[in-house]
Amino acid sequence: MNPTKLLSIQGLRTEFPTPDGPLAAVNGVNLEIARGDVLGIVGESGSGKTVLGLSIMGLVDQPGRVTAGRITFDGTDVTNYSEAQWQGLRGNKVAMIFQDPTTSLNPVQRIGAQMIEAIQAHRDISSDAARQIVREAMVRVGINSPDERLEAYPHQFSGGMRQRVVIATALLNAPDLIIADEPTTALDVTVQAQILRDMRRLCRDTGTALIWISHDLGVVAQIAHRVAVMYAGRIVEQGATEEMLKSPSHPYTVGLMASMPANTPRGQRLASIPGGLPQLSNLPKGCSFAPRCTHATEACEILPDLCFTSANHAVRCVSPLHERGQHATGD
Amino acid sequence: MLAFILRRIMQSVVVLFVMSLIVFSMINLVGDPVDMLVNPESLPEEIDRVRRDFGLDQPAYVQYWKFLTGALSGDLGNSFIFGRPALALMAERFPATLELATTALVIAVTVGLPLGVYAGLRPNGWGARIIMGGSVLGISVPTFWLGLMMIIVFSVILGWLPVSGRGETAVFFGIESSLFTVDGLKHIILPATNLALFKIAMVIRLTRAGTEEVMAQDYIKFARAKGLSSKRIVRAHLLPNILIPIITVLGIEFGTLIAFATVTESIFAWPGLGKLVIDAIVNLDRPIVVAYLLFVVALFLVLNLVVDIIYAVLDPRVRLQGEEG
Amino acid sequence: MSNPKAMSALRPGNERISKTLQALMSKPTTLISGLLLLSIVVSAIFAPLIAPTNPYDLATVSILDGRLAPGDEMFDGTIAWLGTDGAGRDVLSAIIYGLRTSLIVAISSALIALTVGLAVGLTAAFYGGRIDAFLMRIVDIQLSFPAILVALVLLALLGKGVDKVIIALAIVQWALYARTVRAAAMVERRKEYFEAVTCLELSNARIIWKHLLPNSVSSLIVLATLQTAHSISIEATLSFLGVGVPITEPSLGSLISNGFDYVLSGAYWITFFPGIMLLATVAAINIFGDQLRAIINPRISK
Repeated sequence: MNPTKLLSIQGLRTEFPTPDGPLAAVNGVNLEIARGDVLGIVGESGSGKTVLGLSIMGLVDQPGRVTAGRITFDGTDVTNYSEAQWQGLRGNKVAMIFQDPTTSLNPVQRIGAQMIEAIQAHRDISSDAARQIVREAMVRVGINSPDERLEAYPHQFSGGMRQRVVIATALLNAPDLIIADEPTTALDVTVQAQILRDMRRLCRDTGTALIWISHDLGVVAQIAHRVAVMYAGRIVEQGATEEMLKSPSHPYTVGLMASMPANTPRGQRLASIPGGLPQLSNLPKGCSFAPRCTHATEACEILPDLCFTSANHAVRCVSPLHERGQHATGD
Repeated sequence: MLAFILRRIMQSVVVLFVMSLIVFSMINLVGDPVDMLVNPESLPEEIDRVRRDFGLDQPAYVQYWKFLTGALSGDLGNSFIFGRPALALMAERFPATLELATTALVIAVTVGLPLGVYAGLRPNGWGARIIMGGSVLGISVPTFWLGLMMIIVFSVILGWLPVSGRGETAVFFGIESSLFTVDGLKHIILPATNLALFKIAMVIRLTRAGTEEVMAQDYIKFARAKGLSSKRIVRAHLLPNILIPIITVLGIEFGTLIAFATVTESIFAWPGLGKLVIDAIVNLDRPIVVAYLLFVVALFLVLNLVVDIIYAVLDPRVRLQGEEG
Repeated sequence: MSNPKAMSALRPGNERISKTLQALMSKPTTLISGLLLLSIVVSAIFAPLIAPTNPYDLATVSILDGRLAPGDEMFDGTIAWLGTDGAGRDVLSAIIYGLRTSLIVAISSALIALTVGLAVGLTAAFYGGRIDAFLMRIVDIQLSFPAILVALVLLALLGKGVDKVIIALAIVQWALYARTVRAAAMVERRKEYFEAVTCLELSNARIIWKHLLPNSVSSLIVLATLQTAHSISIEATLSFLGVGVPITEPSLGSLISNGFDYVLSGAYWITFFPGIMLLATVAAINIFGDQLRAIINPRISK
């Protein structure tokens, strides 16, 4: 066990039973994140990135469950935690933020009450003291006149404001790790940029590690030190952000980058990857991406391991692209 | 908010007027109450006299006009059988029915709500299956038959509870109720439980559906992510959200409880409105039937209005919309 | 019920029907309730063949057999498995005959209500606008009153009799059918092809018959099933209160009412067994109907 690692995940597998047999939404994922680190997880919807986040929180909905692997948090194996033990961890050491700020807050409870309860769930503290912490947290995320705002109901806030409330709530107990599941996707572009900037600042100031889950490689590139690309429940490429953006090795990552608006000249159609995600209940035998891959060969019928191509870069592909001297970014 | 209430009251008055017309013409279409009032061997002159005395010889529209003007001044006619004002008779009987229906509603909620929440939280567990199976049974069991069975078991075989009547009443805070005496409580347990059974099944089904729906919401997931205990999530996040629709439905269902009380009151000889109206129906006591129907219509309209207001008070989205607009 | 996917799932077609049947038979609860229902209907239809005695044949009923306990032997040697009532009628036979009356009343009132509701619902959906608003307003008002109350008042006006009860129950139920049919037909109306169909100058009747009606079938089947259970219950209640079917043609409700007089003297069976039969019938229909709904429209059952 490496003591500097805050979170370490080994061989994690999360399954949902279906009439056609179990379906592995997360299929053997290894991840590590150090204190203060920012990790981006990228993938299209259905790639398992959200379930991965929920698995780390012990929040996978029944009848789904973690069937294999190990989650170690701050040196403690939490994989087999009881619900009560998870409750002690959640919102305290690890917090999570969800995609849609309009539905993350209880519509019939005042904002203040929803924040205060998050503190009182973990600390024996008076309501007045808790209120003071909440007030400071609101100011920190850029909400003015917090006293007034505490008495308001969620529907009186804009989407961006609500997401700030959610972020402030996540920060209340100074967690070691925040898992943010597409927290800006539902917001306007300008608000998105602000929140992104604020999150980066807040995490840097408090030393909180961050897992930023997104389908948008561009957003992740702005905030993450490292990026992991997920496809059909597996990590297909992982590495330091800059290095990966410069020389993406997995054909899927290359495809993702090519489909980013920023990498497309004006007036030209966005590139898209042909085909769709394979059915998780019926995965191809070898590489899951092979059916959509233009470089697929017979060798792809055996599932490749996630192999390091340099000190900071690993890829799950039998013929990684940059080895052939191909670069997807048009620099 | 005030404009909304005023508009709703206006609407209610129109519906009430239309209903009075329908009720009155329906009642006048069939059956001759004079047959009930006089001895079958009476002379024709005798019959005519009775007819004139009660104003039954005049054209229907005249009778209706008299009825309507009377109704507006609080006079719904005299009972043919009792020879007393219908409204006064109803006012006498109403507290007993109200007491019965309220107790039944309280029982339905206190039993149905926890069971429904439990079944909704663990929809695939054995407990949920038993509860839901029981609720199908509860909807299927004919209320009146179950009432009889309750009498057989608790009164005849075990001898624990009285068979019929309201028992002693006592006055407390100006309210006369059998809930305030031991004897009264003994009398109300069986009929109130009987009346509540169907509603318990309904509350269970409503609550379970609401619980399953709310538990799938993001704010529940976020509340769990905050590390709240299950108890706290149920109390602070689940209940306030499912209570709004449940209270709405129950408010309206309170009217059906009053209606169903006719059956329960007949079984347990509970001296309420329902028994009065069943007797009136059997005896063709027209003024009582008309008064009862209009009363029920008015009750439903008032309940609907009250429910809408409660709804607005409970849900900040509706409440504050009114203030801001 | 306005889920277009579910609607298309029930487009009349042999394959769909056989699939639905298959799904119904695969669950034990459904199978049991279905079989129970089948045997109830069969025994009601063949009551004269199945019942040990004819409870209405005055020549065979003897007052001397009055209030025999379940299992006792009657005067003529037949065993009264469920006892006899105050007039010496075999309770089991009375139940089988009573079941017949109950089912006749419930099913015929359901058929009348269904026909009227179908006509009103389709008319409202087809013409829309004011006609729709007017018809649905009536439906709303009618549905805001409890069925038992409306039936009670109607019977107070109409008087006793099997035909009267059927009419009253039909009046009580039509509005629900009308609303359901309209909702299902409206889904179809909103689809784009409907405009094309109306442009083809097909007769109104043909449009209604060929395009609006088929989509209502699935929800109607489910509703009719559950409503039959409900009207059996209402009829029993009315007969119990003394405003339902006459004593000469007792239903399960009148049997229970009849037995009520003997309850206090301990002859529980006269009222107990008819009640069990009533409960079994209504519960079997309800469970079967619930499962039917779950199969036909999976979204709602969740």
